[in-house]
Amino acid sequence: MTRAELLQALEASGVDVPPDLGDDTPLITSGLLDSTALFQVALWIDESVTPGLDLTAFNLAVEWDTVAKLLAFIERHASEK
Amino acid sequence: MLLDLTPGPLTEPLTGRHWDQPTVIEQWRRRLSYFARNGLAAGDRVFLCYGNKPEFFVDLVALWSLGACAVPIDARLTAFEIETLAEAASPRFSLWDGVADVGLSRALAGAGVEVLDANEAASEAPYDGLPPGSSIHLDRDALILFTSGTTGTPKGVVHTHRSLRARWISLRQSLGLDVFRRTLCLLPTHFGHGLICNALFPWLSGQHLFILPAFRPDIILQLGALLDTHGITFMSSVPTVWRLALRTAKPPRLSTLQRVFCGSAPLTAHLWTDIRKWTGTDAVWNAYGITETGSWLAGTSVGDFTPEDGLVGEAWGGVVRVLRTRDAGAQLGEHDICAPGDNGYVWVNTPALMRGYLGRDDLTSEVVSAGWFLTGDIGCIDERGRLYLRGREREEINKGGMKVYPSDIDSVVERFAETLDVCTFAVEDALLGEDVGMALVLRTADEKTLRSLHQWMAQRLAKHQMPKSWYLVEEIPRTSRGKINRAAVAGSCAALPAVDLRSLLRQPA
Repeated sequence: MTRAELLQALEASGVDVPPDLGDDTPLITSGLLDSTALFQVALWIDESVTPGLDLTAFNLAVEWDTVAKLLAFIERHASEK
Repeated sequence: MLLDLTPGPLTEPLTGRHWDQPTVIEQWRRRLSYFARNGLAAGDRVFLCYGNKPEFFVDLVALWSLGACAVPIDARLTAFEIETLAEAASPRFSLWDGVADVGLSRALAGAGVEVLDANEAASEAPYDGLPPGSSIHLDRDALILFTSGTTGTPKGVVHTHRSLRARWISLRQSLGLDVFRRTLCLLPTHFGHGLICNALFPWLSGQHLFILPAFRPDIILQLGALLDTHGITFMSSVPTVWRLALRTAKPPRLSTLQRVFCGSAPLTAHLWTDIRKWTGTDAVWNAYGITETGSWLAGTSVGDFTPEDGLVGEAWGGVVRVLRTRDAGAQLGEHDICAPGDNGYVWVNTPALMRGYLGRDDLTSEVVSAGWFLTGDIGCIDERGRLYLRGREREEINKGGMKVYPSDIDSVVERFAETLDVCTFAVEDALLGEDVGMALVLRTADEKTLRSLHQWMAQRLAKHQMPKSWYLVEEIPRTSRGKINRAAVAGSCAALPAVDLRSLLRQPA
């Protein structure tokens, strides 16, 4: 998964991705990812990226809070498919 | 104790702030001084333009102690909507968490509303002449909650101290207090469910209230840990919270939760069962309530039960009947009662019923008949006396438990110069249950006009009222009597492509 693909998926989930979004910009704690967008991202990851992975086993408030962390999460768990 | 208003401790888990009972009383006394110094008088109405903080609760009881009526306002409303509400309610003061928006302050001041910063009260010397609740008159207005009409003709539900206390006493008698000893509130405090029942009922009965900002996703993601850390025994909720939590949040490890309520939107048996598993308790109850009845009026306090779609349960401190008629002008009688299992209109008789709608006796008389209140819900009562809800007659969009009224949106869009016709309706949403869709007939349906319309709406509608899906149509079908069937319009739009709002708004104006 590339950064561009992730940003595209975030946009499709309803996130207003700012053009200057940094890799370490908080997504969840800043409110950039609201409940609806977070739900859509969870659906996308659950269904398309890491199917079968129990997301409730993780502290997603930390592990998904930046683009860099989200990419690392996907890389770590997509390989477990 | 309830009649004396004995507030319990307040904790704000996100900041770690904790006010024990003596601190709550001291903060309350500071606010008495502050409001008295500013000239607050009995009978004044005060907009509380913030919520979900310890300060909100002490502000509220301080206002009541001085005989004022509190009007909690959804902080997400636009300046236009707040001005509309101010026109309807004529508040003496509006209270903000910090400095209010300059333009809005000016507009409110122009309407004779004094703008106060709630934070200023913290440095006031505590007032020492008045014990909590000593000057409260039961039949004085205590609370006004606006449920619709923020863009036109506001509908404000007026509760007196008598109706609120009737609700709390009923709940105490029906549910006890023990399970509420450590109560979590993550619902907004500007609507009945969150304020009257989830927060004030336990807190004003001396129980410990843990208060969080409403519906924050980072909080829902950490809900299990939060429940464990604070030993939460009770929380209320809406289905949307669980749709997100069940998919993304670690469940609690400790079994502190003794009861969980879910209300304000339909709870399916499937979701209900999953909530039981996640929370680790079978005491997950569907709580049915309406702002007009002081919220929770019935629920699943029926012993062991299996979750079923639509199951509510039994009444708490009132009588629920399912009648064949919806005519509040008719003489209601035994002959109107539906047979067990037959669907009809749900009516309620409760001492917790509102005094009426603010300045709208016409609306009140449409739903109140000799103490009976027409809820607008369709349901049935089975042979065991259990209430089931089967649908609703009210015209509203239930967006994650928060109600959005199509007419509020229509009235804004209709005033846009290029609009020929408009109809807003509910569209299905995986998380929220329902969201807002809109069919539009425009004089010129080009991108520039659409962008202008979006801007026009954003200035007048709160973000949660903005339609998610827009459909451009040639005409909006009406019945032979000229009425719009919103469900039919929604059905016809389902086959159409929606306007790509994201691309549209990305382009320069």
